[in-house]
Amino acid sequence: MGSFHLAKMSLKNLFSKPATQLYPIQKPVYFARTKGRVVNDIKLCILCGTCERKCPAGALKVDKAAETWTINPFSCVQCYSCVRACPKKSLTMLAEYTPAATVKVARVEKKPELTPEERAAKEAAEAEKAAKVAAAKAKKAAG
Amino acid sequence: MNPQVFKDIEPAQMRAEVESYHSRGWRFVQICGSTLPEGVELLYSFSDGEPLENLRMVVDNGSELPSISDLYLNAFFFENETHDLFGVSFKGIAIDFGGEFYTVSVPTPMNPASAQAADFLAAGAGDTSDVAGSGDNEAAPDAAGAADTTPTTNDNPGGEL
Amino acid sequence: MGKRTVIPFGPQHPVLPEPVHFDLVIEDEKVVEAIPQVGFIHRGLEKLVEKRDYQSFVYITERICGICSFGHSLGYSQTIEALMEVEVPPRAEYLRVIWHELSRVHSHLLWMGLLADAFGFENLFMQCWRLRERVLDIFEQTTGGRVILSACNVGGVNQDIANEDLRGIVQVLDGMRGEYDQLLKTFLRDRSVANRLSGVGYLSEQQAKELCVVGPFARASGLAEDVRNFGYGGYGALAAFEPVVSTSGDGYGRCEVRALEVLQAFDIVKELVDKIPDGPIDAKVKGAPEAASAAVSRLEQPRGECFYYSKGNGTKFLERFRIRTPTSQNIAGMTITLQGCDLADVPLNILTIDPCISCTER
Repeated sequence: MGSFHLAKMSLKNLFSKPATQLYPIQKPVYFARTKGRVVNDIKLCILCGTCERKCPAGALKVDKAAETWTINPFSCVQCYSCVRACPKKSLTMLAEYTPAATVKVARVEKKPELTPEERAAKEAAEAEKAAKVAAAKAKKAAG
Repeated sequence: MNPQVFKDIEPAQMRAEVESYHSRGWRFVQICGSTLPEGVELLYSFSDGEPLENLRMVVDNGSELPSISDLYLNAFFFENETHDLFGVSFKGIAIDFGGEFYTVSVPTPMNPASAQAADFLAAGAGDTSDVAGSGDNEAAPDAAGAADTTPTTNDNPGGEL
Repeated sequence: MGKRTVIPFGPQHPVLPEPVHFDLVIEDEKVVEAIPQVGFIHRGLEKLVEKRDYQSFVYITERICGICSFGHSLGYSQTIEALMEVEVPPRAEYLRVIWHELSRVHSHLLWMGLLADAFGFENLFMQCWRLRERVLDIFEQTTGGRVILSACNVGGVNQDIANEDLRGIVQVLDGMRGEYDQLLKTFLRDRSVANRLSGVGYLSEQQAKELCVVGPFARASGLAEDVRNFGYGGYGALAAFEPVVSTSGDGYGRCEVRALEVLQAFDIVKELVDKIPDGPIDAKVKGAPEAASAAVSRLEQPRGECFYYSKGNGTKFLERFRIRTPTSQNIAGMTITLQGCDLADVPLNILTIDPCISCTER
C-alpha cells in the first residue's frame, strides 16, 4: 500500500499538451475508413436498386422511372452495406459527417440530362443490344 | 461450438427436472418464452461449466407454473418477464411484481393470443387514447414508499442465504 | 433497533445515467433489504426479428447497447452460424476475437473511470477515459466507427485489417501499457482507493454460486466462470487461457479482476496478431434457417456470460431471437450485496457490479 501513485502522471500532464481538441476551431483528423456519410456518383450509378434492398434502415430510395437516387441522411446508420454492395462502385463513404440541420431533408440525386453525343451513343448501344436479342431469338426459333 | 442440447419435457415435469439440476449444483442460465400457435414454448437453460442443457416445454395460454425462484433467486427476473410479455403465470415468485415489471402499452406484447391481451381487447381498450391512459396507470404505482404498491417479497429470499 | 424506512433509489440516481430503481429498506443507516426494479425503458428489440431479415438484424443487435456493441453483433452472428451450420473462415474468427478483446479493454477502462468518479477521484477518472480514447481510435481506424462498429456479419467480418495495421495495433497497446501500469498501481495499491473499496458489497463464493452470478462479479468471488475458457471461436487458438480470479469477493476484488483482465486482453490481442492466418474473411451465407431449427450460443462479454437463443421458421425472418444479458443474471446478486451495506455505499456498491441496463432492457 502507498499513496500518490498517480502523482507522476499528473505532474507530467501539467507540462504536456491537452488530450482534447478545440473542436470547431481545430478540424478533427479522420481516418481513411471513418464512416461519415454516403455520397453517390450519379454518373456511374445504374439505378439498379441493390443499395435500397441492402439498407437496414430504409434510408435509400431508388426511382428508376424518374432516374433519381434519394438518401435520407438522418435515417442512415453508416453501416456501409450499400457501399459494399454497389456493383458499379458509384457509392462512397466520406469521412466527414452529415452537417447538422434544423429539418430532416432527404437529398435527391438525379441522373443528368444526356448531351446529344451521349444520347446518340446510348441509343446506338440500345439498338445494337436489341438487334443482338432479335438475332438470338431468330436463331433459337430456327434451331 | 456450443453444445446444443434440447430436452423436450411436459410442463408438469419441469419442477422435478429443475430440482434435479439444482441438487447436482448446476447453474441456472435463463428462461425464454416464444409464441407458438398452440401456446407458449418455454426454454429453461442450465449450465455446469461448459455443458449447457435446455429444457423445452409447451404450455397453454393462461396456464400457471410453479416458480423456481426459491431454488434460483435470479429466476425472479425471467419469471416476471415471461409473465408480462407472454402471459404465463408463475406461482410463488420470490419477488413478484404482479404484472408491473415492464412498462408496456398493451398486455403481453410478445403473445397477442394470451388471456390478458384478449381481456384488454374485450374491454374496448384497443384504440390509442385508452392505450396511453393505461400506460399512465401502470407507471404510477411503482413509486416506492407506499407499502401496498411496492413489490411483495415472499419469505425474504436473502435471509436464507 | 431503529425504525424501518423505505428510501426510493432511482430511476434517476447518482451512479449511472441508466434507469434502475431500488426500494431500499433502511434501518439505522444500514440497508436491510433492497428490492430491484428495471423495465423503465424496455424496448422490445427481440420482437424486431419479425421485421428485419436475419442478415440485417445484426445492425439492430449492435445498437442494443453502446458499450457491448461489438459483443452483441458477435454473439448474434455466432448463434445464426450455429443455426445454419456455417463454417466461419479462421481469419474472421481471429479478427472477431481481436475486436472483442479491444471492446473489453474499452469497457473495463470506462468502468474503472466511472468507479474513480464514484469515489471522488476525478483525476483518475480523466486518465482512464483518456487512455480509453486510444482504443476507440483503433476502432475508428479499423472499422470506421468508434462505438457502433458494424464490423461483424453472419458468416464472417465485413472489413479486413491488413497485417501491418494489426502490428500497429499491438504497438499502440504496448504504448498504452506504461501508462496503464500507473493506473493499475493507483487502483490496486493506493491506500485511498483500497480504503474506499475494501469490504464494499461482499459476496461469498457460496453465495455467488447459489445466485448464479456471472462475469467479473462471479470471478471476484472466486468462481472461475468464463466462457472464453471453453475455446469457442478464435479463443481456441490461444495457447493457454486462465480466467482472472480474485477471492476477496468485495468491490476491491471486482476492481482487481477487471483491471487485470485489461492486461490479459492486451496479451490475447498480441498472441492472436502473431498467429493470425491469411485467407478469406467472409463465408457466403445463402438461404434461410430451416423451420423448427433452434440454436443456443454463449459469449463472454465484458460484463459476463451472455446467452443467445434463436429459432428459425424456414423464412429469412427468424421466429424468435433471445438475448440473456449478464446484468439480468446479476441483479439478484446485486440485491444480496446491498443487504447490510451502508446507505452511503449504495451507489458505489451498485457500480462495482457494472450493471448495463440498456442491455438488460433489450
